Amino acid sequence: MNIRKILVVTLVLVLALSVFAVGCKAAPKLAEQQVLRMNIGTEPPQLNSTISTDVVSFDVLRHTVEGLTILDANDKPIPGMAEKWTTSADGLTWTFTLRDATWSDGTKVTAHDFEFGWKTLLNPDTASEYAYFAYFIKGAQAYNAGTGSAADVGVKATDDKTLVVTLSQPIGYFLDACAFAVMDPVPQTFYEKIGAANYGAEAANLLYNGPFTVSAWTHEQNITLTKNPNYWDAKDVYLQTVSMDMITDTQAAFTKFLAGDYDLTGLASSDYIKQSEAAGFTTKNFSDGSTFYLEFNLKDPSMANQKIRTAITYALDRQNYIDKIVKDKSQPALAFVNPEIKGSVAGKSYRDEVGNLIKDNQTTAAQDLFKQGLAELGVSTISVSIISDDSDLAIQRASALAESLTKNLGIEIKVDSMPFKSRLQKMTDKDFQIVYAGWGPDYNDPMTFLDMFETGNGNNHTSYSSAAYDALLASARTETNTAKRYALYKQMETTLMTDLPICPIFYRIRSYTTIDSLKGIARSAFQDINFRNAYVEAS
Amino acid sequence: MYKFIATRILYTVLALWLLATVTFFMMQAMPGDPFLKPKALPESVAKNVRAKWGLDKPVVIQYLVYLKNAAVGDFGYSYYYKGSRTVAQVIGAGFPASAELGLRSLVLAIFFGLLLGIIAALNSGKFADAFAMFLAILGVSVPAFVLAYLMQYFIAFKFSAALKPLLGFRLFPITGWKSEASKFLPVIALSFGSMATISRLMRSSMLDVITSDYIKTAKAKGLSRNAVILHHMLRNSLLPIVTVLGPMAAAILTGTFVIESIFGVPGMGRLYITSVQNQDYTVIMGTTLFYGAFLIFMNLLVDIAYGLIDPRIRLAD
Repeated sequence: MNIRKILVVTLVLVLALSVFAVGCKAAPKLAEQQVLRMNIGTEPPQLNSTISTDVVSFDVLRHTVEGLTILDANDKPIPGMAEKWTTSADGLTWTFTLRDATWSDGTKVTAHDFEFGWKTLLNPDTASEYAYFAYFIKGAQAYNAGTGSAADVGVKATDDKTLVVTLSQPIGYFLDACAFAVMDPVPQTFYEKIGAANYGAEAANLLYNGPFTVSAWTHEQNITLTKNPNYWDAKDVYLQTVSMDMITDTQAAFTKFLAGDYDLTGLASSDYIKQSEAAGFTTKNFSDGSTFYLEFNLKDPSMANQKIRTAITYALDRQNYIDKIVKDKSQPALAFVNPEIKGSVAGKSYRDEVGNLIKDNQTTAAQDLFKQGLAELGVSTISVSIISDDSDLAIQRASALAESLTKNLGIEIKVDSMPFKSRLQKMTDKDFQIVYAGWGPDYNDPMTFLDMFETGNGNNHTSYSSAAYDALLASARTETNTAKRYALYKQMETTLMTDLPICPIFYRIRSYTTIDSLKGIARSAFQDINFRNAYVEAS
Repeated sequence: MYKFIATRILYTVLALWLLATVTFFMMQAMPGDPFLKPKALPESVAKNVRAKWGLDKPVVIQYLVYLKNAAVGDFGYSYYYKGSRTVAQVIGAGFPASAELGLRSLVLAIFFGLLLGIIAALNSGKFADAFAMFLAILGVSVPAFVLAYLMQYFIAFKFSAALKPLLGFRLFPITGWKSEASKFLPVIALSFGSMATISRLMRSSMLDVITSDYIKTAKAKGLSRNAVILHHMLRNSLLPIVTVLGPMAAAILTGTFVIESIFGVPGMGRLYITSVQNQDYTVIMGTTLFYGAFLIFMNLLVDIAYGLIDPRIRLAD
């Protein structure tokens, strides 16, 4: 009921504003109605940046609450609430100067909001699952673990406009990290008035400083964003209204797109891509930054054999697998770190700099290695199982992989599918031989992929343990020189791709489509969706 | 009567306690926990999370705390909503839409189910019987989601689009639960299966009654055909229908996952599935107990209805 009213008001506003819009810098040809309608699939559990963990909440927060930096369409951090910043020679102390900006209730956005927000994130009582993300701040881990105090955390608002941050180690992705929602500012007075449990639970329980405000939130049905006229860069924000439905059923949401109810839709599988192209829409692709791979349990006798693992890794024909089974634009992974991760110099990715580290489709060489491996184990054949999720798609992907390995190597592989959480539990318990898994980056640095293979890391399900690797990792953590640090990353990944506790398969590319007139949507590895500068073009 | 009510209440409490206990321990036995995510939490973070939600305590203590709170109507907070909503709020938000969808479907299913069953029985072996039973078999064997998708695509999308030039608007929205038009398709999709069950049951029950002596007597004393059908056949055939209506109503009124998610009905059906997937312990308990209580209540209504339909059945006995 609210939505219709909002749409009418919006239409009137758009008509009025479009008079002014004409003549803006390189002004795009705007349609009268600047409305984006889409499906976000599910309800954001809560729009509280200090405890959010899910993609949908981050999609809403990205457009409504702004941190020190924001990411541009290419995932490069640019000034957000911070107008400028300086950094000390050792890279440990950062001083941010905030711009003039207001919250949606008219109060000023101050450096204290950042100090409070970050300390709330780290407060053990908040019990934030993402608290570890800010462990690079000095004293953060100790405070969060209950052994330090809030006063010792290296974030300090020296006045309303100045925020001084002290890091525990220099990190190459600090400005990128500042754009992530968990690092958003939290206005203390408002937060305390609403109460921690209800902060961000309703549209009225949150203050907004981003390009949009949440103007209506009908739980389990729809969230409507309206352009924030007080946003510092409001002139570059064209959409007046963004309506986000929460239709869980993918097919229903797709039918709504075909019927003209939505302007944008995800294409979750090759079937949808086919249907959408048949209806005349152009498929658009983006990398979400995740790599899919097999993890070998090195505690398992047959998987402990490096020749067997190498044979499996080199036997696969990845492009063929993607073409026949995955059936989308995903790319063969011939290393682990995803190509979306930036390199040591601007404009180049880490993958560009390092190149591929393994080969695929080497059937003969793989068969030889496999025989040698069997001989070392003293057996004539091995039978192993791959655990996978129990969705049709996951089973199909794992089974096809198993089949091709059986064909090429004569290895007996069965697929053991199970519910998502059961698979996670088995991985945590290291109760598997091979698992089909995926990993997406938390931040834009190769470390987000590489540190999981540290001895004893909670995400190292393979039990891989290499003194050389651990030593390189320790050096990389404290290396302030970017070029040197990246050289260490390269050595680490080369070691990893020689020892092969994992077998990389593909870098995922996801597909979606929009109506032709919708322009300026950015989708990338670190921004599931960004419509800050999107607009509907006049026909 | 008082003794009857007291006994029923006692049994209800006992049944719910058993249900809560079995569910609680089965749920705890599932692999994983609410905070098991693809990315492992560092120990310091995991400790804070467990402490906040009381998961650091032994399972038996958690169980006793749960019972103590549940006894005074406190079913806790949903983990999924990160403590911003109580289980009562989560269920309370979804139940009205589910109940409305369910009630509409039930009325439709009972009316057409009985009608088809009666027509089939009265025309046993003829075309009308075959036709009614064909519909019934279709209803039982075609899964609700197939029917829902077909209706959504062909009626809400294609048919409505074809009619648009004539009407000026789309007759049926593809999803939603606001206008009467938006409720039309989900109600039909949900009612089809129950309608089929009711019609088959009604047919066989009627056929039993038709051959009874008292029907012959009724006919012999010269009652009109309609009077015989209405007063003698119908009433006496209803008992088996009433028996299945209890559980059927409980299932249909407390939300259905498939129909609600396909048509975007903001009901509580999804909670049964998502709470288990997310291991949202408090919501698993809440929905199970809610469904259990509802089922018990519906069966109580069935028992009362028996007495009304057949005065020979006395509640107190």
